[in-house]
Amino acid sequence: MNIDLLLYIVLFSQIMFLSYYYPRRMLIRIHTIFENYPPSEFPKLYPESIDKYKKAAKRYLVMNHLIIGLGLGLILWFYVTPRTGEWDQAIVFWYFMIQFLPNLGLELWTMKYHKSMRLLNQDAQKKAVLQPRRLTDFVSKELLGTAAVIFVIFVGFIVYVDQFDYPWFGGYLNVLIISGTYLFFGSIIYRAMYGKVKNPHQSYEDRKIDIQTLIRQLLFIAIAVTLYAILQISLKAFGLESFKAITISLYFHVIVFLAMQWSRLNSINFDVYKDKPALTK
Amino acid sequence: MRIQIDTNLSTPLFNQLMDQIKKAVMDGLLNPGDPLPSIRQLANDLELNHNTVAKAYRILERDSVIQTKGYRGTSIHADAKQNSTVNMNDSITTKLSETIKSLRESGATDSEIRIAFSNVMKNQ
Repeated sequence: MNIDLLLYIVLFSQIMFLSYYYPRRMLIRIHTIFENYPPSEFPKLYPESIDKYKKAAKRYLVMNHLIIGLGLGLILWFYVTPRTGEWDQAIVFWYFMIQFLPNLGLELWTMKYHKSMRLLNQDAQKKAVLQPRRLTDFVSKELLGTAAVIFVIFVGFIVYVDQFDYPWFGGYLNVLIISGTYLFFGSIIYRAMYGKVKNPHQSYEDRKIDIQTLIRQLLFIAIAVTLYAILQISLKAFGLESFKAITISLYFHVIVFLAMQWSRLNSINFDVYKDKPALTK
Repeated sequence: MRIQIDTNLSTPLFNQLMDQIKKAVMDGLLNPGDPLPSIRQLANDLELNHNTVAKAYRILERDSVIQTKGYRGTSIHADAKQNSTVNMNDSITTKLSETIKSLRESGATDSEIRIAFSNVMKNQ
């Protein structure tokens, strides 16, 4: 199959998966919450007016529609413009960054939402479980071991490639970058496990599930990032650079798929968002 | 084992925390060697200042209800059950009552005792 045609197919899939399918699933989830858990019954779930949240959801949808248009325009531009393919990977990368923007906005919005929740929280009763949280309470030792082994393999791979003196090869800078990524993910995990409570109403069990989901996602993403780095260096070493744009796009598919592992709505305890019954004599 | 702190109560927060840990030990919900969360984890979970939890842990450690072993963290002390019954408040009250009684017998007025007590506390 023609490499260009393959790139169009993969890029089209990236557009639809990241800017149509993922936001659609996210919005279905948000609207299901609006419908099944209304402010009248679950006031603590809405520190501000529900209309504000509906507007934010609409904005998220519109932004993604615009990005789909931009992506389709990009494929068209790829098709009509004669290219050397040299910049394809960078273009796909920067298009992904644009695709990520609405989700970054949603993440910032969620932080603001939790802050409003904390500010309005009048509950004088603070609860905790007298048990230390450990990494292995959330993920299996096998998964942790796999991430560690893949990192060691990566370091070995860099040491091996370093002998060939490729002029383009960044050498141990690659190890530094991947180590930085692992450290960054580690700091996020640490904050999730021991940091401040984001949602003051959330049940302990739901918080545990959230932490577990986050740790699993980050570990899988760390493994994916490392394998992708090995793949990119290998493609370059074997002179298969024309596949770099396709592989980066496939890599983004994997990353988003891993980030999409949300907890099931019907397993979340929404009763904590109800008003407490008035005290009676 | 869950604990609950009420910020509306007049009892200091660190006392509530200590009382609940001691009660859990007495009730057998916490046994010798059982690990406890770190100060940071517990303070963040309860939305309390770290110093409040640190103070509770410090006093419990002084009373040998809990023990801290470096990187292994904090756990319940082997003699926690018997040490949880010791109430320092009662012991301090008894000693102070005896001192005040003897001072009164020696002719000191309540006002003089209060001023002297206040001065001593300030200078310590």
